[in-house]
Amino acid sequence: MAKDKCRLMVVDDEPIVCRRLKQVLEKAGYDVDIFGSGSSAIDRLDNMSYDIIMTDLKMEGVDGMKILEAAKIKNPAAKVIMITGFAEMETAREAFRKGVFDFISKPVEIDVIKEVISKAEREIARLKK
Amino acid sequence: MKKLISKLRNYFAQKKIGPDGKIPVRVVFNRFRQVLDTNNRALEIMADMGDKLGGNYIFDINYIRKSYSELSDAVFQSIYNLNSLSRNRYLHLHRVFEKISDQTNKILKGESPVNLQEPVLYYRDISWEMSDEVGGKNAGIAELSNHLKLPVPDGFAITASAFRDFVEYNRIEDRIRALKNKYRKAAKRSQQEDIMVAITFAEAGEHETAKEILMEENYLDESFFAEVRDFFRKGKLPPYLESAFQKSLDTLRGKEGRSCRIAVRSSAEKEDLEFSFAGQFETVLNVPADMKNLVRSYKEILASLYSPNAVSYRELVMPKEKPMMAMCVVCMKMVDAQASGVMFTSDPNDPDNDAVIINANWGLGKTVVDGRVDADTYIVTKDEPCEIREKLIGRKELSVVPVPDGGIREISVPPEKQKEQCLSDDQIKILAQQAVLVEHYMKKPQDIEWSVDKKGNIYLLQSRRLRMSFTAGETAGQISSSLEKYPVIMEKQGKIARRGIGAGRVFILEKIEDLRDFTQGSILVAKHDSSQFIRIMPKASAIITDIGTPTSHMSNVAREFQVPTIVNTGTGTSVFKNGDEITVDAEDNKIYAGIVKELLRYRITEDISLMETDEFRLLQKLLRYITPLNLIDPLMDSFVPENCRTFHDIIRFIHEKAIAELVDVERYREVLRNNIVVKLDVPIPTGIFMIDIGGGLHTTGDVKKASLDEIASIPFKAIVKGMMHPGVWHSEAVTMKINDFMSSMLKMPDVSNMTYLGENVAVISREYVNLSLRFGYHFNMMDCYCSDNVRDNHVYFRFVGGATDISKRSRRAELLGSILREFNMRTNIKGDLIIARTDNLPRQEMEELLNNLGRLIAYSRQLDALLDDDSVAERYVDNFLREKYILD
Repeated sequence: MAKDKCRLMVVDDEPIVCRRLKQVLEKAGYDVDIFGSGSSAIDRLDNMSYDIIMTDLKMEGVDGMKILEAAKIKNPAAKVIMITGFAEMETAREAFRKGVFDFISKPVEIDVIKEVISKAEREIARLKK
Repeated sequence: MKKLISKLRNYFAQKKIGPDGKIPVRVVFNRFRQVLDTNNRALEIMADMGDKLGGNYIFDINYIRKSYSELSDAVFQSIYNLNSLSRNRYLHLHRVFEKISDQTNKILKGESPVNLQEPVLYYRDISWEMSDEVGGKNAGIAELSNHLKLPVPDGFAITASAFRDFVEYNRIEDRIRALKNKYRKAAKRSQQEDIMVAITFAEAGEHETAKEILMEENYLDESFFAEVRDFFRKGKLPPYLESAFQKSLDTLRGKEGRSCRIAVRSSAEKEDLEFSFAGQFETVLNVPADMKNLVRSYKEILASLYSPNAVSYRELVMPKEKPMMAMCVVCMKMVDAQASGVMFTSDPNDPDNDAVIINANWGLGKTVVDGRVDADTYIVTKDEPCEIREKLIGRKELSVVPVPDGGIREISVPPEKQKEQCLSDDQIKILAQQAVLVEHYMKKPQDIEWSVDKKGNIYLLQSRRLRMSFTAGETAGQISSSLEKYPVIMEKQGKIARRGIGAGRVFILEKIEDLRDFTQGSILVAKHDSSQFIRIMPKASAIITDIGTPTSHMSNVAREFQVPTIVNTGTGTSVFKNGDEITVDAEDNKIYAGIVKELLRYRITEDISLMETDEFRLLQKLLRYITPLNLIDPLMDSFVPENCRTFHDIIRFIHEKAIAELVDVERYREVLRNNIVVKLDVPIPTGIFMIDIGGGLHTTGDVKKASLDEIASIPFKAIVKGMMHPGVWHSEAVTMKINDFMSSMLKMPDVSNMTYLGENVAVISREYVNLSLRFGYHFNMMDCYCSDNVRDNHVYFRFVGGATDISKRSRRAELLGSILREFNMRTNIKGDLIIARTDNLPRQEMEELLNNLGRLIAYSRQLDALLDDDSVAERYVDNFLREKYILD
């Protein structure tokens, strides 16, 4: 079952989250790039397109919402998954308005992450057809 | 603190207490429920935090802080609730709580907890999470000795706290700063040149490079480092350190006295952990164990922090290091070495070469470590029992030996010994077995130093992670496709309790006693969780159970030992066959037939080990003050608040004392006098009275008795059903055999006579029962919670005998114990006291168990009578387990 590899971007200012996600998702067969800050992620979005972007919501400086906006401008088909410690309703509503694909709140089980990503992947495949 | 206590006292003074000074019974039971509630909440948070150590979650620092604060609140409230239940009998618990909180708060702030501000620690007192305080090498040595029980020479660690005090006492940091300034001024011109270069880079947009140039301290040359080293060498020991060193030396020397020699080695903060620093710091061997020599060697090792090699290595691997890295020190008895060397638990150039590689030479290991001799090489297979595959005997022309007055020297090896194998085949095999054990436990290939003394005893001196030099054939990304060719036997069944990958032969556990046949590297497949598995944890490659939860005690232990574990698979014991080779991927929850080399290689090469992340270590350190249980036996004198060392201890203590408040006979008399008690109306004469504290009975209003159908309490109903099971309540048969004795065995409480009341009482609610029974001379107490929420469920069963002599009583306890163990309850027997418990079973299994316990209570009345004849008694146990309740 050779799958079309999705390119994943992971942004979180907590190194443990980036490192663990990279490890887990690479084993599951994805290409993963990790970014420890919102600004470095935005820089990369200038010259690289990602299918799925997982980003922390609350970060110093450039936060998840800004990444969501930037990603959607670059590639409206990109699926953005927001990771957050505090799923506030207000933010959630705003994020959905701006086209977020899903929300995940920490701490999260690895299986849940994989599920959300494969859901995003199926969605991407469906839209391509 | 005093303020808090007096505040609490005032608070309690205002609490509702009856005119006779007694607390009304409903209030008592409500408070009792509150204790259980807060206790359960605390245990739930603890389990949740422990669960995160299984590696199955992504969590961050906020999670740790939040959970901790909720836990701390729950424990505090539990203490408060116990005190309101017991009328302030346990105010001291607040002080204990404060003490533990002090330490945990320090850990959360990144400081060392109080009790680790010891300048010196013996290996037996060191555990893995203390690596920051004792350095990586010391922590590793302690693991070998404490967890794996491998032979390690006696010794102690000089801690980071001692280092900090030494540095502060001699104002070394200030002096380094001043010295740097001096050098900077002298080098001002060259620094200006640097600035010019940096500006050029900055203008070209290379800000990072520019910053790096400016940060560089390239004006510091070797003479600067030589001066810094002198600060350490000429420094003085603070007086308290001096006395701590002296005391430790005296203990270590013991009977050996002046002839004792020690090895003094570096154990820097991160040495052998994230960074190997191999060979960068000083080691002083064969040091006479006296103050003068120890102190000199100690300072020499501290000074080596600033040796040119160490400095450049550090800059290379830790460019952002800001505060001075702490240098801890290993002090260990010298082994009077016949031969020594190094072993690698894997081939660093070829991970598929499944072998241990041992290099050995005569005398001390220095020649082998430095690679200065044509040492012997032994290649040994890793499969038990470790066969020697190849022996390459080197021409060992020189060796290093200790000099009687201290120090070491190089000597030439006599020609006849140069080509002689320096270890016996047996020693080679034992070393290899130990290597496999260490690798297995550490989960990474290891580089181990060892010595064999003149009597042939083997000692391990240190173990560090072996850096594999090959590049992996597959990256993590490629692995998923290469796994497709392996047959999957089981997938997504059960819950992962500890992530990881393990391969080996299946060992199906039939009876707990069979654990002793468990072989190194096997995979344990068992029906139920058992905390007894701890015995084989260091040897197990993985654990699979049919029934269990990731929050059980066993799961906790599996996490502590880092054994990949999948629980609650439902069918493990029937799917797998004894001796089959399988690979457990407790990351993706898949089990493959055969050994999947790709996965094992992935495990070795994965660059990030979960354990090395800061958050993981913080959580682990924190849990050290939270989860271990030290207070176990409530009958011991040591069962007092002062001995609570963790939150779990406090919770355990509270649970026991809350129950004690309830079963207090005085209290019951009071209860019965003031309350409506309802007699249990069933065909067997149990003599049980019920007190309903909420939803325990279907009937309402003022009733005097209630039948089985009228019981709404889930756990109590299950117990009564068990007691009523056909045949178990065997009064006639027993009576026929031993008339007089039996009449005293079933003492029927007489309602008209208050003195007998309070002996057979069930305090019930819909999901709870606290049952106190007295049949003849047995005293039986059960505390159960049984609901649809698995986490809340527990059974606590306590049985104490009386009347006959202690040997008979103990025999009966053994017999009952063997039945309780068959029910998979954790059973402790002390003399004639039995305490058995089980937690977290689903409701249906709880009801089955309670039914069985009901049968046991009824049936056990017979055992007493038959104690004179062991074989008969044993047959009864056997009958019971085969559900044959008829006496023959």
